[in-house]
Amino acid sequence: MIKGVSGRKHIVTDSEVAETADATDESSATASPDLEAEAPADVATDSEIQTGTSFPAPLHYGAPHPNMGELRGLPNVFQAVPDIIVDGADLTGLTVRAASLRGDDHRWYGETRQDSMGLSVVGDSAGIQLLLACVADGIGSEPLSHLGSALACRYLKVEIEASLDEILGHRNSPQITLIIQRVIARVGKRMAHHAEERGMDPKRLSTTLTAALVDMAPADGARYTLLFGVGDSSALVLTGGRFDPVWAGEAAGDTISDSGTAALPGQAGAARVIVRELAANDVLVICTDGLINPMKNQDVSAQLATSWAGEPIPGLVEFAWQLGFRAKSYGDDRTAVCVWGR
Amino acid sequence: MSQQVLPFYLVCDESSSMQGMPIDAINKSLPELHQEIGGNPVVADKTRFALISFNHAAQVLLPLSDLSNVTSVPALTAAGGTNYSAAFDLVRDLITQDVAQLKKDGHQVLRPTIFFLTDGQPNDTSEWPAAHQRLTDAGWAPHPNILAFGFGQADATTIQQVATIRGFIADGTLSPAQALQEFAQSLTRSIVRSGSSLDATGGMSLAMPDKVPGFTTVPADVI
Repeated sequence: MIKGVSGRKHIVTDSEVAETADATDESSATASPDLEAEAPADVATDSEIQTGTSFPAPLHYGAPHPNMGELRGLPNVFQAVPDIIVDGADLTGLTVRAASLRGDDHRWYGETRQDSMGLSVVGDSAGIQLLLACVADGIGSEPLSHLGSALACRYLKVEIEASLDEILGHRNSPQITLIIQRVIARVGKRMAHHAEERGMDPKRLSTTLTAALVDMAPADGARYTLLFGVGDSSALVLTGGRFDPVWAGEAAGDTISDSGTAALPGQAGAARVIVRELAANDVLVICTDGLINPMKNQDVSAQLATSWAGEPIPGLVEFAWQLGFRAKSYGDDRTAVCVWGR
Repeated sequence: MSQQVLPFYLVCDESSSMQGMPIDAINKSLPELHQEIGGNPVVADKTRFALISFNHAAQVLLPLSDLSNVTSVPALTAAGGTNYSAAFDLVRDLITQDVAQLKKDGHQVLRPTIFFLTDGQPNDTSEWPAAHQRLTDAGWAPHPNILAFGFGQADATTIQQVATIRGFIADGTLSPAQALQEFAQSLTRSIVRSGSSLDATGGMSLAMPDKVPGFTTVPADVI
């Protein structure tokens, strides 16, 4: 039987299923949906197919409103996007999980998700390959910002590919900041052009953008990672069981003083750039404020640290379920990409 | 950004002249307001509501609450005189306590909003302006925005003086009961729209009525 919810490419034997069930009985701390624990070992006959609703609801923190999370109507807006998207990859020595979930506020009002994300592998002319991961948070007050966040992710890939030789040539030089800021400026320019071609004020596409370029072949256990962003989305490294903010002065979940001001396509010059080397057991997280804000709650961040630091790395559906927790008063779209160096 | 909360205070006249249709109209509207706001997870999470009634004295009928946690909103009972200063003093004390508590709970508190409803001239003519001044003192950080609504014997000048941003005077085109229903609906709409509003920086802002059917809008006095 293939373990469908948690674990990747992992064949589970009957005895392992039993162990999983036992472990779950003793401790529910890993907070994974336990579908597999009761799944039939062979092809299920009709009588064995479960009829109950055994899939666990998302975790709750702080007594969320009883109507929170109701899906209500489908969004009626130009190029509305699905409620949830899930993506990932199991690369050699690198595992990626990504999900973008519509916030409960947008669900209640039948509005579309404004967050976007993107995953791709980019390569330079010498054959060096890197993972490019990004998240973008369309500005809430702009009804078409879901288009902006999607465009930012799409154009970022184009511009990173076009400049990858230059980026890698200056990977450890102070010049990297300027190079990346130029890349971001060109993303902003493409977005503005896209808007103007359609007779739209570029401001309508306002979005944040946070991205990571992760080396696929680490040297001596230190994995080169280039992080950059515009606006208030965040990057964290889960190391030693704790989330460590990548940008100084930005403790996990702290108020970000300049939040809400910097956004593409207008203010690309504000792009923050940092190089960080990841250790073998570090987990890189880039996410929108829909995740970073509820992580102020210690229970939320402790749970996510437990879910992501251990083994096995969550499967796609499990990862989306982990992000689907409900915390009172936090109704933003929530998007995260996690990268494991294994 | 920490979670923003916008507190609303309904400060409602229940003097003896409110007896009958007016008080019944308010008492009928409050459960509707409760249901509409309490049942909306977006708005209930981001707003708080308190009900204060006053005649010769003022009392808290519902302390500042998340309406999704409230089982029912108490009713008003008409009796007694009309003393504005009792109401202003009480609501000032409440705001002081409530804002401190909300901040302690980790919220970012937006400027409180008072919906003030009266049907008559105050009996404490010489005292209330000083109490009003204490409540609206710009040097007092949490000084509230006040929207004042008058009907019955209330006069436009008084309503203008009480309001800090906008006043409304019943114009007689609707019955008192209908006008009060419109008042309650404008309060509900204001809470719902404020609670689901997003300004350019992703924060909330107060959405207030420009016009209320049955009322004439009067600008607040510029001091």
